[in-house]
Amino acid sequence: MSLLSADTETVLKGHGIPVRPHVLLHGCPEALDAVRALTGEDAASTADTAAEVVSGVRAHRVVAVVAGAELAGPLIRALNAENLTVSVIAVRQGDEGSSSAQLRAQGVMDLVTEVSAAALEPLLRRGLDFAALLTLELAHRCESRRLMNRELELLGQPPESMSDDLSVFQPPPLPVGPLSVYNLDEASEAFETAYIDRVQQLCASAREAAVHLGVSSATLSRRLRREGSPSDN
Amino acid sequence: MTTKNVRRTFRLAVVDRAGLAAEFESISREKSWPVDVLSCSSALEIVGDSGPGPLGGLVVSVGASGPFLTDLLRWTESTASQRVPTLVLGAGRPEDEAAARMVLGREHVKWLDPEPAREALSEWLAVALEVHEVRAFRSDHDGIAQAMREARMQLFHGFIQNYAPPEGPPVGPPLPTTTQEIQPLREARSQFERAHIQAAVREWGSLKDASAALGISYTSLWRRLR
Repeated sequence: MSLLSADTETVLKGHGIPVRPHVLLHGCPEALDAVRALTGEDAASTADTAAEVVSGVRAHRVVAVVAGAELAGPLIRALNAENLTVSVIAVRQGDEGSSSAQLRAQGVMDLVTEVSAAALEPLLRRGLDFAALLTLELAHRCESRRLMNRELELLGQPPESMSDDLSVFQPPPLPVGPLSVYNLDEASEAFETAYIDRVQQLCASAREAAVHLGVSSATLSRRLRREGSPSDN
Repeated sequence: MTTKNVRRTFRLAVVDRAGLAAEFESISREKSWPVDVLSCSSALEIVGDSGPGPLGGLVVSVGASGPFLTDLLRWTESTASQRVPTLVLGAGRPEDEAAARMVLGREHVKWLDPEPAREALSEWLAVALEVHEVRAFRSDHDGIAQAMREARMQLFHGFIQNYAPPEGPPVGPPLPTTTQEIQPLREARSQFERAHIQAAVREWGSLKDASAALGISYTSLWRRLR
């Protein structure tokens, strides 16, 4: 059973965005069985520390977090420090601890006081749809940014290329008019080049980049040599 | 499946007293570009109180603009984010020098010497059309992103329980910003190719025409879209 709404899933698939919802649990082992009953065995995992949650949120596009109420506040602060936006569902059994209003003020999406699949399901659906919409929003904003760069190029004013801002380095946008490159091989090559460049910026070495990209070091080196990348020296 | 792009009509104003407007009409007919050519004999028809409204492009001949060329060029950059692509054609007279100086430093303005080749006019029109399309799609993407943002905030606060997002124009995959976000190259490329093919189908309207533009066979296109 997919916890994503059918409409959202269709649009994600239409854009070719992988639809693999994931739920991370932090400080609430008692909720694991209920969550796995909803998501399946592979789509839920536990994270012992806030750093593990941060890493897990980055590794999954469509993700929600279920956290123990006492850990939710520090967790949200850790996520905010990394500029990560994700829905956190707090679990509190019993009447002690922060109130629902206090938790919401800290940035928690909602609170459950009963750990059961029935109680968690509507909240997880909302949380995962939230993440899916964020993914789609990001994709549209990136495409808009690429189109802006293209507009500047067409008007004879090259986009800023000396900035360290990663969002500046973007591949060409999808074709939109009579001058665009429609040839699939050419366009895919341009995309791959931009993608590999970005991965190289993020990785400490070409070997690490190759591992992340799922290609052999030899293939990546050959590719970089062909493009005359300075990092190949 | 993506449907054919309905092109937004491109309005081109031509300030000229010779046959330049007719030349642009002929080029757009030949290329099947949806260009609405507005022929003006004086610069005042553009910069005056009852101006033409939003334009996709402007063509000015130095002979017809007379002393109002500066006003016309300022008019084209009145909105910094939406400068109007402009073509200025020399008249082959001494005033060309002053006119060419006005063009310097204005990236959205292109200068052509008198009696330019048809190909040069066609090339400039293609650029102006592309800018027009790029802006229209940017506006679509920004509008959808804003709608998604509002909807997800409502979902977060529980004001709504579900939301059907619009399909919107195709998008390429965002690049990773941390190592955890890196997808295998094969997956990223496949996602990009899918979006690229959708964009080509949107542009050309039929799978057959799209496959020719993409440089792949019809069956290959069909297989990749499946």
